[in-house]
Amino acid sequence: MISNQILQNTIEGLKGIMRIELCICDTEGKVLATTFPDAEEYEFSVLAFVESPADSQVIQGYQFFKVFDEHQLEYVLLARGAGDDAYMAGKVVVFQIQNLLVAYKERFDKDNFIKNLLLDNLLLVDIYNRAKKLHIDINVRRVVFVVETQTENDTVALETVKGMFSAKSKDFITAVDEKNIILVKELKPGESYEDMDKVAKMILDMLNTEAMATVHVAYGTIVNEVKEVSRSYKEAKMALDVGKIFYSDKNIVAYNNLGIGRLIYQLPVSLCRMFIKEIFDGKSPDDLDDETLVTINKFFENNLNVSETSRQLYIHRNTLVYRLDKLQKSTGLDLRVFEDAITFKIALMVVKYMNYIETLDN
Amino acid sequence: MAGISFRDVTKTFPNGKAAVRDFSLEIGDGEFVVLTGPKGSGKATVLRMIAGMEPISGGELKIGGETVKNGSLEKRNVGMIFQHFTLYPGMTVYDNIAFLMKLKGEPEEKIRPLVEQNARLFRIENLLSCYPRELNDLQKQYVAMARANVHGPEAFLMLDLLGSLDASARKRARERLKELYDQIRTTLVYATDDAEEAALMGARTVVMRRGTVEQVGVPSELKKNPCNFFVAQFMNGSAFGSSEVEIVKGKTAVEAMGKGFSVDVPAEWVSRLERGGYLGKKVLLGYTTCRPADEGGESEETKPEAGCEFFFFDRETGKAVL
Repeated sequence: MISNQILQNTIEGLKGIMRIELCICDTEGKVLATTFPDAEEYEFSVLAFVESPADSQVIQGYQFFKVFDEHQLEYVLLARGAGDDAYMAGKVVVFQIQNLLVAYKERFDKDNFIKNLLLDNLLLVDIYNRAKKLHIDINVRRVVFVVETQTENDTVALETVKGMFSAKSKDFITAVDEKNIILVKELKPGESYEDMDKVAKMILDMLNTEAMATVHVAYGTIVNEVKEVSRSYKEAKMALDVGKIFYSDKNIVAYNNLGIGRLIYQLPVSLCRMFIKEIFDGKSPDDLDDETLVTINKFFENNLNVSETSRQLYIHRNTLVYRLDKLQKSTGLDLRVFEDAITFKIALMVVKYMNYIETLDN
Repeated sequence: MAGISFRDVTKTFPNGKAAVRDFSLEIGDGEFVVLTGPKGSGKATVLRMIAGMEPISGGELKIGGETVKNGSLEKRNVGMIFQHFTLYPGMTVYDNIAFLMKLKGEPEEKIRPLVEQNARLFRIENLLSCYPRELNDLQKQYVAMARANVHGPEAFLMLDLLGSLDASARKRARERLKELYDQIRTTLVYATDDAEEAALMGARTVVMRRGTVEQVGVPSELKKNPCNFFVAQFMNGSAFGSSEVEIVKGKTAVEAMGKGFSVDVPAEWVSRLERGGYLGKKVLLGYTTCRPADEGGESEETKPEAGCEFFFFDRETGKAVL
């Protein structure tokens, strides 16, 4: 329902224009919004008016009006004065409130539609019918962004995103769970993934600085039809997961830029186990001590450059060579050889993926 | 917020990537500090750690004398503006500045004076009823700054804020920022990957690379006395050239012999090179070219000439010859 605050703002604004005192009550005579004091005094008159067949009536110096929502009585409006001016002003206010009701319902319906669309809860025929009814363009390019917040139900983050995009009525902001804010963004002609990356950066920077929220932003591929929006959403969710597993240093992850993480994420766990067994012979890279893991990561970071890695680790070159030799003895992989290095790198990523799957199972 | 103190702070992400390593820096209460370094050098991570949005993985971070626990997230009273900021398009300038206060349910009588006071500070009081689409880029920046300042932050953190402006607007924004700093005297940490921008800020500057501090100093010092090849190259930008040379003792002077050129080593460097045992050895010669690299072709092909400023670096470590 429309909030009392919106009703109050509406009648205060209209009073400012028409100079007529106004009050809105529900069908039980309770005052919801008013511009004059002691409006509660009219409760019994309101109840009597609700029971009467009249749509408008003058009672105790006020014009009483019924406000319907699709033939259902929703509110009673009081406009001070018994003359034509009060009648006309009252009619204007009734018209305004009825339009607010329509707009509110449309918005609510749109939100509902988008949620069901994202979750694949609609038949194809319903998608087209409801989109048409809600004036949502069918053949427009869209992309779905998922913003994951650290805290649940982060209202400041949600309102910040709404503030950024709600002025454009063709973008939809919704949420299907406590930690994710979803933005379904309509693209302008000529906009590309580069522009979407800028949008993601803008969301990130605004949420970091305005809402002081630590967030991760992911987005799916650009789709051409409303029926494909759910695919873009699933892709964005997957990008978020892949980012968490493999690219935890990045706050923005795009589905079309997942690299090797995308391949590993889609491997069956049984296949991963087989691969790890083959490489590490039943052992796990998690069994490696911290020092060795830091050495390996740094060696990869420096493109297998022994001098630079030893410099950055503050160790002698020979110490690094010794560590790499030791690793070769235990795994059979010589990280200085490109093929072995890539096998080891993939194995580390597979292990990360398996660990993630295990946390989900638990 | 008082001072901010980093002691060997590290930040390693769960995937093993170290964004900040052994980072040590003291920022005084009310000090204006510029962090600079190429993309990926860890500037944004440092800002996020100050703001309490990124937990530290190791070392010691003290804010206002109090130690921040490893791994803890704690929102702090800081005003932040990052490069990709935006204004809420459907709201007036007034509502943009008042947005968070309204969201928190602050009364209008508290909000209005604060918004108006900040608007005056940023000289945008006549724009309060405008919508963002009616503002130019510079005015939008001022609105964003007013929005960040309206909560009375104890420190300001800015990331590449002026990067999106054209040259003239950038100059005006920079001057306004310095004026504002003089007025509010709040701790201000400005991060940018543009060395020229950092130098023009004129504040104490921290040069970062791969998550560590390379050198700290005022821009003129960083340009004239770089501690290593990276700082010299980064701070002098396109005006910097380099070449491998052999230090040779000639009949009349000590010379640096490069491929197809030879220059006399300035007197102040001769003693340092001798002391370091570099005579007869190869070193890295850095020099500031008199014309920008794009006029003289690739920097590697330019040759040092009379009037250039010279620097000598160890060929292996890249450290300046002391």
